[in-house]
Amino acid sequence: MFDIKKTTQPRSLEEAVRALVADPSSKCIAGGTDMLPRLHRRELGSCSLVSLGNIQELKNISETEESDLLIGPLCTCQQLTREPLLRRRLPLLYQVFSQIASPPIRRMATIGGNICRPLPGGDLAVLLLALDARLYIQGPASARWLPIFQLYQEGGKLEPQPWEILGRILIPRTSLENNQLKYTKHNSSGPSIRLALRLERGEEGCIKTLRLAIALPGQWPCTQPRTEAALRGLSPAEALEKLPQLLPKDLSPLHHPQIDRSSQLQVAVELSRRCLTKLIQEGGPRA
Amino acid sequence: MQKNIIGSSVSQRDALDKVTGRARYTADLCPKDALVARILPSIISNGRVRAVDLSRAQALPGVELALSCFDVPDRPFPGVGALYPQEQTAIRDRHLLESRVRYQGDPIAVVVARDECTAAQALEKIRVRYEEYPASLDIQSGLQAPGLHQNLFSGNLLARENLHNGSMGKAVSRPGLHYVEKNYRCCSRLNPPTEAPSSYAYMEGGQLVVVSSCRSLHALRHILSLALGIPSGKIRVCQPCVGAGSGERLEALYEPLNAYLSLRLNGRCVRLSLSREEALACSPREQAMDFQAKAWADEKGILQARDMKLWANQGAYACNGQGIVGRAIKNFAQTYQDAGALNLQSASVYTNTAPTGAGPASGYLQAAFAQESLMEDLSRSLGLDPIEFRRQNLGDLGQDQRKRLEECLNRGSAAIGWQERRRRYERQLGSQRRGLGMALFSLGDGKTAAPSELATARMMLEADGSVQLQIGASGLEQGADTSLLQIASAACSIPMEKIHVPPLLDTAWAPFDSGGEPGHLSQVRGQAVKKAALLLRKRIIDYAALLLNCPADLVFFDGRQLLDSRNRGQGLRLEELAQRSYYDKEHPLPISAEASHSKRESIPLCGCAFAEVEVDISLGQVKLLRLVNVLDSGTLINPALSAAQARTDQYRGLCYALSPGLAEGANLPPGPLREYLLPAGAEDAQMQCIFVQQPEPKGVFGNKPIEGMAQIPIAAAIRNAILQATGVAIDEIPLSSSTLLRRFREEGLLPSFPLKEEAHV
Repeated sequence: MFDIKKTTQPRSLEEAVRALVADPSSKCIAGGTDMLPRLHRRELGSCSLVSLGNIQELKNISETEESDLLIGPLCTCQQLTREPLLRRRLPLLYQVFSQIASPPIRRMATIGGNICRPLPGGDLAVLLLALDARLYIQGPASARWLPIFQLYQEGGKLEPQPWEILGRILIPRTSLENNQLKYTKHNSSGPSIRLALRLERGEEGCIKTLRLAIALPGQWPCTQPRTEAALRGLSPAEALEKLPQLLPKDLSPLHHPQIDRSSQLQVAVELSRRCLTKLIQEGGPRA
Repeated sequence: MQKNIIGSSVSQRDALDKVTGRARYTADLCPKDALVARILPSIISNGRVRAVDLSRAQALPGVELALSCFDVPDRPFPGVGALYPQEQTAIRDRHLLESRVRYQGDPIAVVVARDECTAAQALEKIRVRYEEYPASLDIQSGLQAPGLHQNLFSGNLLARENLHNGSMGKAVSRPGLHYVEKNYRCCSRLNPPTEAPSSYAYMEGGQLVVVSSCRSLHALRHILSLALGIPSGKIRVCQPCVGAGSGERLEALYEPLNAYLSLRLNGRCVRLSLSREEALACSPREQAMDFQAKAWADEKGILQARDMKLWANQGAYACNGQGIVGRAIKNFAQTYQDAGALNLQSASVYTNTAPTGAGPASGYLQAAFAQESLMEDLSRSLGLDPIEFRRQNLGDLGQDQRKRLEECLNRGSAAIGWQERRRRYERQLGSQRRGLGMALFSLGDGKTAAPSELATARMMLEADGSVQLQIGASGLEQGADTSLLQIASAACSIPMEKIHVPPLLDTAWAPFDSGGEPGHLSQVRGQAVKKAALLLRKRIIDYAALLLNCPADLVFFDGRQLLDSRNRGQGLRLEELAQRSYYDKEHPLPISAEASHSKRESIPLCGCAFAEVEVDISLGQVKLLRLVNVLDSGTLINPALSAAQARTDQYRGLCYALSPGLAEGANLPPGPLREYLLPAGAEDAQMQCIFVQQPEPKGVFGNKPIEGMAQIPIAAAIRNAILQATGVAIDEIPLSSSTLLRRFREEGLLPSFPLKEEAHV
């Protein structure tokens, strides 16, 4: 039972934005794996849909002249795992996407949906946060680039306005080359805690850049700037020792009926520690 | 008799229909132009509906009918879909719609519209004014709160059962006793059926017809008659294929309301299907139980005394859950014996949570967790081997049962390598540790039989020599259609492929079947089928004797042809006989047989589980490495089906042990099904179920009702394995990450991080 008033199928990003502006009750639909269940539960009442499925430019994967990666938000999870360019430049995506949901969902679910609705299955958001991805946001008058960490605002809001559309995802070359990347999640039957860690090592193997993105239950995924800054310049051994002391001060777990706040901290710290240990081991004494 | 069909793994009769999607369920059969009913659930947990404004809903085009709790008859009926529909035992605590709200989700209004969208829009236009009372969501607050069903009970105590043996004072005053005192806790668990509950109702031929996925055909008809105040002869209930494999959907949910709506609309067809979320919110669940346990044992490890208090959270309605604490209590008393004294007290308590119900293992499941945790804790404090300790304290199970339990224990410990691995896992260090644990169970002594479980079977020989088998309810595993066909074939000698059983049941022809505990009933149903088949065989032979002009005891029948054993040349094929039974000019006499069986005694059953786990202490993760179940199964009628059933039950046991359950007081719909997953950490486990096949003399063909039984000891076995691995006893189910981490912190295995103030969401 879907209470849909009208569906439009624009062919360009600009046209889609115009449709959203024209009818404030309308919503975008991409893969539908999140939208259709919500419509079914009547969370959105009766609404109009703007289907993005016919906009070809949203489905491309390419490289810029600066060797940054560009990913169209309408690429499905399955498509991303099969794309040779991504397999070469960002093999971790395969690992992440092959863990998401089930094959039928992976065929339908899009990377854009995963970014804009990261709860509870948004495995990708932490990874893109760790990679310092940038998002191209198309509005009615102009378009702009938004660092992904600015996307997720307090109070469960997204930064862009409801009539703006995510047009492209850029992963900078500087996050891909000479960087190590790890993704992990808590293997529990309850709500999962997910984490991605990016490490760039400098002189004598010490920490040059460290990005740690964590998604705790009921919260937007976010990076941990204070911990990251405090670990910069440290030797691997020092960083491993400091991490469990710094990180708990940065995190603010929320009450969740299935996992208490202390346990969330324990898991987040332990997963981070293990990820960092692995990256350091894999990188050898000098990355 | 065609005996070799028993014990043969013929494939399930409806397997192809099920896997190709050809099988038709209630919602598939509903006419496409049926009107659609949707229910407005209460948003408060406890209180009264003071006013309902339906005017805006009624004004919506396409709405045919909108009713509030004030517009339906005040006629109480039981929600019990099974067990004993007699008025004296079934508690009539439900109404079509409730003005006295007892849990969040109680139906308070309903709309019927031309389609789902209109019905949903209409629901959103209903305005309700409540008078809200404080909600009691847990057992203790339920005990203190004013009675939820004041016309039936003064307080909230629904069922109470006690048992005392010996003098406690004398038993525990002996010097030098070891003593353990513990609180064990089992959370509530949902048993969502695969098929979301669905029904439709219409009038035809002066009868009200209700098609439903409820599995208790005749009990449902009785409930409908009570709820609607019309004689049951005016009601026809049909049950198509049901997607519920392990004992769900025995209860009536909204069928009475659905039927009432059709009556109000002059018999137009009305459909009432629940969404998955609605179904999760109102479906009866497994009872949460709290156990306060004390136990004393002497130096040699002889159990001297036990004192147990058991409280069960009944939820807002009795459903069919009131007997469950009694089951648990009996189980405590029977499995082990106390040299000195035993003191058991139990009660189930109405609270403002969703109703609970009885599955095949309800009560046993919770009792096994508490009992087998207690035995483990006691053996550990005595420094004794857990199996030896249990062995020397086993109750008076009877010679046979004891022997079979011994064999289960021996085969289980051999399969898992008990001695060697227990030794290997002693004294480990580090975050990742392994452990081995076990638990056993033993049920039934033959004296607890309930009086009124009855099943009937009817068999008819068709003119082409095939046979129609008619039964009154669909069952599980050993009692499922395929096994019943095997039983029928074995008893009447006619090959199984010539016997047919319709997938859709209909009270218009289906013989009476009281419904009830799935396991036991499958046994009763099997007996009825066997009797009917033997009778059919006898009548076929008698008719052949008439045609062949030969004494009946000299007729030879192998299921295909009937011969005069004095002269093997003279005879006729079954097809010929069948045809003549309808069309013979001199002796037309269609052959059929009907037989009933009622339960006289329950069949004892036992088993055990062994679990090997790896615990990651820092992450609170349990990885199940191996699970070995051993079941005292009797002869298996269909080993493949039994193995599949046991595997399902193993998963259910794992879910019970490991999946996040419904937190205390979690009254709300538990959220989307995606948060209610199969337990993590069990994907790669090696799982095995060993059957100890000692023919059971009381069984239909030596079999036992093992449906749902393999799950009973699993939670305790895993808990005991975690205890060996980490030295930490987890005394509550589920054994979730959160619980494990909290316990590890409490025991000093993990640090406690300082928590910041909770951020504002």
